[in-house]
Amino acid sequence: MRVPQGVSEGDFKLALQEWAAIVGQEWVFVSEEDVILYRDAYSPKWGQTDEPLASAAVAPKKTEEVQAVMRVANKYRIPVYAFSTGKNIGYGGSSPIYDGSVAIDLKRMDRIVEINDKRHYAIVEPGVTLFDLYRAIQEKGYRLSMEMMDPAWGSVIGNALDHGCAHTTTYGRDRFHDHCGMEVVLPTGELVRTGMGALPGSDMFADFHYGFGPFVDGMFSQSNFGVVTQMGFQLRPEHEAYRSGMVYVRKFEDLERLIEIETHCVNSGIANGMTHFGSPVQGPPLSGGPKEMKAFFEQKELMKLLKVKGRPDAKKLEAYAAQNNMGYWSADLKFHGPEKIIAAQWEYCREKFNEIPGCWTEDHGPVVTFPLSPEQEAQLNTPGHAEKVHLGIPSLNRFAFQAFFNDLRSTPEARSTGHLFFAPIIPKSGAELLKAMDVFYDAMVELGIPVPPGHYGRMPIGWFHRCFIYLVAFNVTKVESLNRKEVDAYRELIKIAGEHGWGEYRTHNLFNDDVMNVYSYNDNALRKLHETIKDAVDPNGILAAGKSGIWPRQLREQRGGEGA
Amino acid sequence: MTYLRPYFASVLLLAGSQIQAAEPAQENRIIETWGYSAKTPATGVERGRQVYEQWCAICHETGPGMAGTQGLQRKYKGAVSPLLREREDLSAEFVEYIVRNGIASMPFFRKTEITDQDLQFLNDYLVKKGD
Repeated sequence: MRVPQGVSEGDFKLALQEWAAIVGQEWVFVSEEDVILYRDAYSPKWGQTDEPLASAAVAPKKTEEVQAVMRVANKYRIPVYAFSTGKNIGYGGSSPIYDGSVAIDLKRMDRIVEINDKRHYAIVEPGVTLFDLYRAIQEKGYRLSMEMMDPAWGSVIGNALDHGCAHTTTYGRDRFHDHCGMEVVLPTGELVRTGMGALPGSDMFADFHYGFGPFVDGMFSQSNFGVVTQMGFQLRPEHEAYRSGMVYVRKFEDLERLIEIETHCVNSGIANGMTHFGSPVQGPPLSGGPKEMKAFFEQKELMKLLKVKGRPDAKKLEAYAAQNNMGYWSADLKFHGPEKIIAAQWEYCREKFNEIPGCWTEDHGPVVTFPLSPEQEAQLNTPGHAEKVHLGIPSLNRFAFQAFFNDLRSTPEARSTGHLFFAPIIPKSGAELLKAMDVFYDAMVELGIPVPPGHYGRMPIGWFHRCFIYLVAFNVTKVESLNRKEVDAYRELIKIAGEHGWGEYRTHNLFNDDVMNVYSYNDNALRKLHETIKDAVDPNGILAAGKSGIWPRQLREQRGGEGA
Repeated sequence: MTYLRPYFASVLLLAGSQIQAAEPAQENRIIETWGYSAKTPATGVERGRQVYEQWCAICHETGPGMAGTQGLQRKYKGAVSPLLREREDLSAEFVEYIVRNGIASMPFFRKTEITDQDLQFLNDYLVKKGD
């Protein structure tokens, strides 16, 4: 049995007994073979002496049990951390930040409290996954659409709390923004409901965000201020149809206008799905799948133009694009709604983009209508057709992409076994994107991170519709020396991005301090505010030490990175 | 009603059978998901099939985007079926090892996800007895 730091063995044994009395002996895990299952499957510190590991795990079934578990943790001052389903692998999964903390595993809290098909919302517990909610909606025959991400086996709540994003509609992709109502167990064990949930007898938990008074819901996202045990989420009436359209422009200089017009269309609500930008002459289409990616890299003449130091020659690429009827840049726009209406929305967007000389547009795959026929569903996730995730249908399609990239990166000595992304937010502008490509190219070369051909064609993701997320993929293996190099490089990228005003929106457990350290305005005033709140709501400092760089008073010397 | 794929439908029937009338006026309240409610509905091969559908089928079935199936196709190149449910050579020990240790990009599963008992049921479903 491993005892958490700062706790006596005697106290820990008493706590385990009391937890067992609350949740049942079978749901308290202390043996090595059980507890090791809480490690991060994709840990960049795999097998290293400082890999953060849980000391034990407790799995409550009900909110009342969570409250009681927290009271015991307070009684014996035991560091704990809570997670919903533990499926955010790439961000730390079910492992703690502070080594030796006890896991509060909420997977067993898997009730869908309510699905309302008239007022279009669902209220769920943390163990409910996107697959679970989707299946329940289908089984009940409700004509509702869900916002969706992929892989979809994670928690609806956990994803939202970590500021996760869907791939579906402009108004729903920001998952935390799309919630309404929270039930939270404070670190002391006290139970709070926010918004209308605070009004006894109200049936509007998931209808009206605010209730009365300060809107405190945000406090419980990416934080260690409470354990969320229920959340409401908005649903929408089933989208009657979906369509996607490609926009191509010919010139390097067209990028700025392409992004400006797309932003106009998106911010006016006309293009209401997630746009994928691309550069057909510089990188493979993300929407195509592994075969299309392979085909891209097999274009020998093009590879000669791309495999150069720094930015490829734009004029040569423009000429190649013209010869091969390819765009220099592209935008894949998506539309959700009634068939006639989205046809008009696409038509409006086409006209706007046609202001760019030489621009051309194409329908991208067939229009999909709901309810799906078996034939339509069988086509999804295949080249030329929509991905399930864009339609709000759960899948694990992203693991197929990951397997493709992992095979590319693997060597006989070091097999790639996971994923880790550096993902800063950058402004949604052509100039700033081109600058970011240069900055990260130079940084990757300097830090010894392999720069894949097609670096200048790897376009940012628009999960949050008013900004870009620029992704740099890291290679995760089980080889310590390689992983250490990747972790060090990741930390440097955080600092380099910060120097340009770009910060990560979410990060792996290992980098919470590093990321928070760049959000340092006015002598780290935001972090100090977080700490003030932490000390108030968690006086014994037991919950999820280190999340978002927030350490309890007694552990603040643990803070890592420069600026600590 | 929206089209249901067969393996979804069977899980959903299970979920539907567990709907509790916590507040009779609102029949849409409280849907226990398939997992570990007090009304755990099945044992043996049938429960094993449910475990398979919940945890394995989403990556190991037929159709596009199935990383598990694609990975096993690449690994065995057709020497054995890339579909777990068609495999004749799986042993209980092997299935247990993979579930608890993971392999390549597939992570391992905690006991709140797949209990030891459910793992046995999964083997009842996946491991062919030669009969």
